[in-house]
Amino acid sequence: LANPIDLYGARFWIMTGLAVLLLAPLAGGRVRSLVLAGLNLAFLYVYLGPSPAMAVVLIGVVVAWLTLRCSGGRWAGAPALGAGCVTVLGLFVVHKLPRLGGGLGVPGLEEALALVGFSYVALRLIDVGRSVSERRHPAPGLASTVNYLLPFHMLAAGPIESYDEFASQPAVPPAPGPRVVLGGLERIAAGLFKKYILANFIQKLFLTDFRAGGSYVLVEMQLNYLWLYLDFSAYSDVAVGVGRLLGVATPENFNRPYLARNVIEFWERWHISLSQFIRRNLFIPIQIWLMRRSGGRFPLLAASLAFTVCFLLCGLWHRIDLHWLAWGALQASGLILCNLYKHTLTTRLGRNGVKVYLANPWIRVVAIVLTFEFEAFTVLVATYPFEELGWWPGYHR
Amino acid sequence: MSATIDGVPVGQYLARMTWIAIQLLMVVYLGQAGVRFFYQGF
Repeated sequence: LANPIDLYGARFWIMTGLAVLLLAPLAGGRVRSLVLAGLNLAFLYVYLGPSPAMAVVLIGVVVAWLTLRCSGGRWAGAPALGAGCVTVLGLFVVHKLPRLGGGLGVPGLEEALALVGFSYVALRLIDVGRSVSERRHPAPGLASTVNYLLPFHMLAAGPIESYDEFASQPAVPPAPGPRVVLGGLERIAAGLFKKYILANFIQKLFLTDFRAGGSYVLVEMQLNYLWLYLDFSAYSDVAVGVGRLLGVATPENFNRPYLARNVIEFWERWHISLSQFIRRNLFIPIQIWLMRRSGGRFPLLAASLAFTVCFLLCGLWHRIDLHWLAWGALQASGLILCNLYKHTLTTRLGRNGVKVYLANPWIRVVAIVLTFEFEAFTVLVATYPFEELGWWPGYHR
Repeated sequence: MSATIDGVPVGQYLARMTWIAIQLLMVVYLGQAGVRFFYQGF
């Protein structure tokens, strides 16, 4: 099931307007948090109505809240965390492979997972679960659990806010002044313009899902990558803009990714909240574990293995199929090569030599173009209809 | 000295709000229906 939240529909904007009107005069911390939680649940109710799916959402929130409370405890912590991880993984597989899980026979489960965007909720659950079990933060209250896991303006396509960032927000955020409101409206308008004018025109006029054949595939590869950025970053623009109007911190997700000069820099500019999640919760723990196991003797090998595990999983997070597994393998290869190249340059040229190398405008242009083409190619691999050509024998979608 | 709101000159507010309005009008009139019309025209 696709996520039904449509930014062109009235429901999203009516709820946004209502949230702004209700939250603006409520400067008090606790009441504000409760009202925001009510609005987040009301948003889901607008889409689901009095249905089994709504009951699944409510039960899911209460179970998550109770599990988090147990995870922070001394005795029940480990079992609660283990049970929580297994449940999140199971629900993720059901969400991504509905034919396999068949909704586990629970009415409304698939619909609920699709609406809340469970791919993102699962990552938020991991982040908060880790924070609480490591006692970096106390377990959130019920209202905070709703507000962290199901923020209505981030449900369609993220971003993935870290729990550290969520917990560090002031209980009473400053009332947004005219400058902040204008900035928020600008982001919303820019996002809608990018999605419904620029991305829509590119999609309708130039994209054929790579079915046009011939050399047009090379043109479409570039335009498909451009479309992806315009469409995806538009959702983030709207989320950041609405967040500003509501006084809810919403992380930036893109920072001019087409200017990245290598794959490592690309992941500091593209889907930033996802790459930071991977760094916090996968890359650094894996790298530290490998370094300890090897006594710190093979740092490049440790980083390469960590990149491989992280991006194969990242590919499968997008979609559980061979396309995205190949995409993950390509990203990991790009990151490993980039890391090795950086190491070789530093060894041969020294720090000052590297500075001169990086400052060369021609090298910069070539690096940016190569990175652009590499990333465009990985998106092609992830979306090309190989099955129709029979290129992947024995593979059926 | 020009008048300001929240430290931003009023003229800049007007210009930025006009650009917001233009983008939103384009989204409303050229959004999904507009794309369909434009596409079918080819």
